[in-house]
Parts: sequence; C-alpha cells; structure tokens
Amino acid sequence: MKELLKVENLTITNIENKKQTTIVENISFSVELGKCIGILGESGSGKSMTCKAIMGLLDKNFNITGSAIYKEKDLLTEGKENMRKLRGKKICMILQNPMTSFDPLYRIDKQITETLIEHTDLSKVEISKKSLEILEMMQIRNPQDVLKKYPHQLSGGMLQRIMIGMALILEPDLIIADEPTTAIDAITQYEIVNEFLKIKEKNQVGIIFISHDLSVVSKIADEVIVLDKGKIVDKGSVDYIFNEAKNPYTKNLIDKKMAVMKKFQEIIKKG
Amino acid sequence: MIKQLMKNKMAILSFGIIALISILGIFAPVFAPNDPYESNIIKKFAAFSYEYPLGTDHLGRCILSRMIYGIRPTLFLSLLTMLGTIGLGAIMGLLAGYFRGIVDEIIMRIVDVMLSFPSQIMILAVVALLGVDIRNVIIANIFIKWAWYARMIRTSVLKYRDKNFILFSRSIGSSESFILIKHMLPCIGSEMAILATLDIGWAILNISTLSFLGLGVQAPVSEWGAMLNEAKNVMTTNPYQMLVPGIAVVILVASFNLLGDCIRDALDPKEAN
Amino acid sequence: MLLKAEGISVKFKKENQKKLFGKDEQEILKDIDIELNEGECIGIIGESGSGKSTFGKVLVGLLKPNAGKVLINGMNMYVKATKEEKRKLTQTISIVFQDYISSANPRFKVKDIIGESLIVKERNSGIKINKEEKIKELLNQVGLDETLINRYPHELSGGQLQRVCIARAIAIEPKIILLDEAISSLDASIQTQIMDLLLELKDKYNLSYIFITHDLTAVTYMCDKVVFFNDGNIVEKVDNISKLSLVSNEYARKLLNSVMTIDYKEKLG
Repeated sequence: MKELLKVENLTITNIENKKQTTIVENISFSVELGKCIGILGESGSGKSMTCKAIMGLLDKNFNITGSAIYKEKDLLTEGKENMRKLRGKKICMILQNPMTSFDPLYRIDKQITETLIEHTDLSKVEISKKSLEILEMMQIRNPQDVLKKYPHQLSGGMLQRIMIGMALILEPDLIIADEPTTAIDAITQYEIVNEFLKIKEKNQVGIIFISHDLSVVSKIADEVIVLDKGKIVDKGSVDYIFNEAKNPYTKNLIDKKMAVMKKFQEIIKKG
Repeated sequence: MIKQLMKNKMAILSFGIIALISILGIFAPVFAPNDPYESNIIKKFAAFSYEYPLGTDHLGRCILSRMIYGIRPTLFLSLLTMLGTIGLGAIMGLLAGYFRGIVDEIIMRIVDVMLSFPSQIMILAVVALLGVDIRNVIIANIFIKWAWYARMIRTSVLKYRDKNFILFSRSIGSSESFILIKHMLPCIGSEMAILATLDIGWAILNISTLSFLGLGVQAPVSEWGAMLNEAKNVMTTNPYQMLVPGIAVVILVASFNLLGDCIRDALDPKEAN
Repeated sequence: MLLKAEGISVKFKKENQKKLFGKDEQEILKDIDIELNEGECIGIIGESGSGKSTFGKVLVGLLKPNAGKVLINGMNMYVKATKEEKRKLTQTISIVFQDYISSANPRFKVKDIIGESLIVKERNSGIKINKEEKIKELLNQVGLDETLINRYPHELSGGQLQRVCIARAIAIEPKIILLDEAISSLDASIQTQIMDLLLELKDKYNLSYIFITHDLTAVTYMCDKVVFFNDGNIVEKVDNISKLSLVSNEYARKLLNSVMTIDYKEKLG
C-alpha cells in the first residue's frame, strides 16, 4: 500500500505568554492511498491542532517538532509559499461548520470559480462546466439554481456537500476532514458519510477523518487513533478499537456509546 | 478587566494624568502657591518666576494658582454633567430595551425628537431661556445629551436581552428588578464605562466653550474656558495666558479619550472569548 | 395530565415585507398538540429550523403563541393571572439550554448562578433556605465537587457547565424540565454521562422531561414517547417508544433509517 503521509513524533507546544503548554505530544500515524484514518478524541484532545500543524496553518505562537513526510517532503519544514501551493490542490481540508467556510457575501458560483481559477488553468467556460459537475457529483438537485444562491440560503448539509465536491474536483491526494458532520442534522449526516465512503472507493485519495462521534468514525475509518489530552492512547483497526481495546479511556468512550446504541437496537427490535 | 488595563501603558499614563489633575484640584489650597483671586495690577504680565511659576495674567493674578483652582469647576462640573447624562440615558435605555413594546416606542420617539435638534444651539437656547448660570448649563447639557446615550445603551440591552441566562431568569420568574440590576446592569456596565470616559471629554469641552462665550461660569471663577475667554483679548501681548489653559484642556480631554479607548480594547477580546 | 398544549400556532413577521399594509408572516408552528403525564419523558425530534426550539419557548412561558393554549396542571399559561398563580406556573417548569456558554451570566460565580434559583424559591415558598448548604447539596447531586462553588463559567468545561445549569434548573423544584438540545453541544461520551444523570434525577425527584433533540438514539435512551417535528408540523406521534419501528411517516422513516446503518461491526456472541 502506498504510504501517502507519514507523521512521526509530532509535538506541538504553545509558547505564547512565556508559559509553555504542550498541545500534543509524540503523535505518529500514517495515511495510505485509498484508506481512511480516523482520529477520535474529545474537545481539547488536540485533534484539530494536529491537522492544522500538518497543513502549516499554525502561527509562530506554536513550536512544532517532529516530521510529516508527504511525497518525500517534510511538510513541517516547507516554506510558506510551497505549503500554500499544496493546500487546496494536493491536500484539501474540509472544516467543521460549513456555514462559516463560505464567504457570506458572494454567490456559490463565484466562490467555486475563485477556487478553480487559483488552482487550475481552466477557461471560464470550462469552469462553469466543472461547477455543475461538482454539484451533480454530490447529487444536488437543480444545480443551476443552487449555483446562483448565497450561502445563507442553503442548508448546512448542502453547503458541506458543495465543500466536499470542491475538495474532490481538484483531485487531491489527501483530504483532511475536521468534524465535517458535527454541525449537521442526522439525515444529512448519513448522506455525507456515504459521500465519503464513495470517495474512498472510487478516487485514489487518502483521508484523515477527525471526529468525536464513534458511530461516524466506525463507518468510515479503516484505522483509528484515539487521542486523549494530546497523547495517542490507542491505535488499531476499527474492529480492534471497538472490541479489544484495553486502554481505560478508550473503553469508556466505547462503553458509553454502546449503552446508547444497545438501547436503540432493543427498542427497534420490540416493534 | 482592571488587570488587563494595567498591562496597557497608555491606560496607566492617561489614568495617571487624570488622577494627578484630580488630586491637584481636590487639594487646591495645598498646591496653589497664591490666592487665585488676588489681583495685583502692578505685577501684571509678569514672567515666570519662583513666586509666580506660570506668570500672571492681565489682572496680576497668578496663572498657576488659577489653573489649579480652576480644576474644580472644569473637572468636577463636567463629572456631574456626565453622571446626570449617562444616569438618565442608562435608565431610559434599560427600560426601553428590556421592556420593549409600548414603553420602548414612547421612549424612542422622545429620543428621536431630542436627537433631531442641533445640540449646541439647543444648549445655547436653554441657557438663554433659563438665565446665565452654571447650573443651567449643566441642566441644559443633561436635557439634550441623555437621548444619545439612551439609544446607545438600548442597543446594548437588546444585545443581551435574548441571551439564554436572561431567558432562564424570566422563565423561573426572577423579579424584574433582579434581572435589571444584577444581570443587565453589569453587562452593559462595561460599555457604559467607555461612554462615560468619552462623555467627560465632551462635557469639559462644552463647559469650557460656553464659559469662553461668557455663558457658563462667571468671572472671577477661574474655570479654564473662562480663562481662555479673558486671555483672548491679550493674545498677542501675553500669549502664555492663552496657551496654558488651552494646552491643559487638550491634555485633559485627550487623557479621557485615550482612557476610553484603552477600556474598549481591554473589553473587546474578553467579549470575543 | 401534567402539561397539555393545544392548537399552538406561532407566526413571525417576515424579513422582507411585501405588502404596504398588513403583515407578511411566516408560520413557524402550525396547530401543535402534545400531552405530558407525570413522570413521563417526551421526546421532540426534528431538524434545525423545524420549529422545535420555538415550541420549547412557548411551553416554558417565554413566547406567547398567536393561537392555542398551554395548560400546566390545569392552569392556563398565557392568560391574565394573579401574582400567586403566575408564580406557581413559573415554578412548575424550568429549562436547560443547548448553548451552555450563553446560559450562564459570565460575571456570576457558580454559587450565584445556582443561588438565583434559590432566591426565587425562597420568595415563592416564604421559607428561608440555607443557600450555602443547599448549593453544595445540589452540586453533589449533579456529580460536581463543592470546590467549584467559586468558579466562573469560563473556568469550567462544557460538561461541568451544563451540570451547573441542570443544578440550577432543579433548584427551584420544578415538576417539568424542558431540555432544549441540552446535550447536543457536548462530546459523545459526556452526552451519555449527562443523560444518565438526567435519568437518575428523574427517578429521584419524580420529574417529567420534555427532551428536544435531533438525535434519535438519545430519544430511545431517555424517552417514553416521541413526536416528530417537520417544518412546523407534527408529522408523527409515537405514544409508546417500543412502537418506534412502526412509524409510517416518510420523514420519520428516513430519520429512523439514517441511524440504523451507522452501527458497529460488533462481534456477535
């Protein structure tokens, strides 16, 4: 399996205010092409910070050590300009709240156009075609209408799908999804998870999927790392984590979720 | 918030200047070298000396002493004006913003009417009506200016009114006075503090302007604006007489404005958190 | 019958008014009825924008509906009443919000947050309460340490702050608590902890809950019955939670199916 990204001993410390606080310590994992690694953790565990560090999005208030090797380049030491070129084209990030990922003042078509102009050499006509393609790929009905709308006129679920579409159309190698389903309602969440599954199958991309929700991670990830207060407390396949994990933190997470799920299954079976 | 302010050098500087001037004003008899009202025609337009550190004016009175005694009317009358204006404005703004409905409509329409008059001219008109007296100047100021603050404070109140903790208090039946005094007032308190510092600056200028025009404090009270009034006649022969109160007013008003700026800065990141 | 809502209808003025006279209105809630008995927990499930939070506000007395009535223990909520009656009503139902950060006055310490409820309780019942003792008791009830008594909201974690909000909600000794997406903003494992706490308190104090959520698994964990909200209407009522799998409404079925397939590759046996 081709190893796309290999992160080794990543440590991030906050050096603001003369106090040094460790955000994450000695994080190591790898992402393979066509596979998804799930990062499971609660608020404050450092999962978002890890990915921001890899993408070069942290400012000088943070000290980062370790390595993140992508195609023989260490992303943590690459210059700003190189990182900027990689971001969006080769490595795409999908963020938590889709409503805030779009500029509220511009229509959707303008925003897609902006992204495409930046990263491709397509002509205006080709860009319009691509924009429609994105929406159709995400099974959004009436794509022509949707293109002409403003972000606030669309639901969170739809915006998130457009975001995923935009990420895919550039054919990146790596997609980092940071809690993409958290701010979304249940039905759309289900549809978005399916989108990710399709992406994994068809496209040759590696995915890093960050979430605090076990059920979503269990569906998408091939391998899972569990973060607690900045440290990896467990690592393994989905099967291993859910059935054989020994770490008390992980077990607690699993047990709690199982309790709720079991009750649900019980009630459904009764009817 | 106070801790954050203390970190800001500009805040410390402006607060220090204001504190210094206030202490000089309160303990004027201690600090002033001479009697501010004692005129000595022979010594008029004297140069700087040990006896008269800032020289004398056209009537031979010690300028420094007049300045120090002048802090009292300048600063403290402005303070009084500011308290009255912001007090009335806050009460009106709170009532309008919290109770909404017909109370809001009535108060806001009154505010609209007050705001449509040009303020300076109205103040002059009120003073002309009631007579030339510093009390009337203060009343006129409060009468005109409260509307502006009522509107600003109402906006703040509206911002907090639908926050969950206010909704909770209403849903369990906390008394209105509890909600207004314990919840709303501290919330808008910080915004009011900013308005207060900015308003004092405005009040100082206003009182000084009116005194300069002869409509505020009357001679021989050494309010800084009145001193400017007297100095304008001898501007060319004794420029210091005009410069001293002029620069003093600028420094005092600037200090208040800068303090207000710093308070606002100290509050913003906290609000964002 | 503890709580009964009949024919609730709520309209809001639209942002873009097209008529010159009269009002352009948007119907947020259309003719809603629910019933709640003592000791029951009713779930209200729907997407954001379906009107469930607005309905919650109507039920606790914060929003007067354009039509319909809310009866708590037979007393009509939005009708002119004496101070006594009003106090009885406000004391019977309290609320826990989704956004715990704006639920507490950032300038209040934990003891003041809970203390406010105690002040109201004292006034209503006329009996003096030893506040310090009672606050410590309440904190223990919700699984928090007494040492948190002097902390400010921003010094607490999400789970802790939400527990404080629950403590202040039970401090007035209500019969009904409205939980408006109270666990939605918390991490998954904390959600379960809080739900366990709520179930414990329910048994202890014989409370009834109105549980508003978008998560069907939370409904099955907590509730005895559930209504499905969609676009301001109740599209399905399930009076006995064990009959959940028999829902016929299209939206309800969709919701049901979107949960079932996100499950574990659980080892059988």
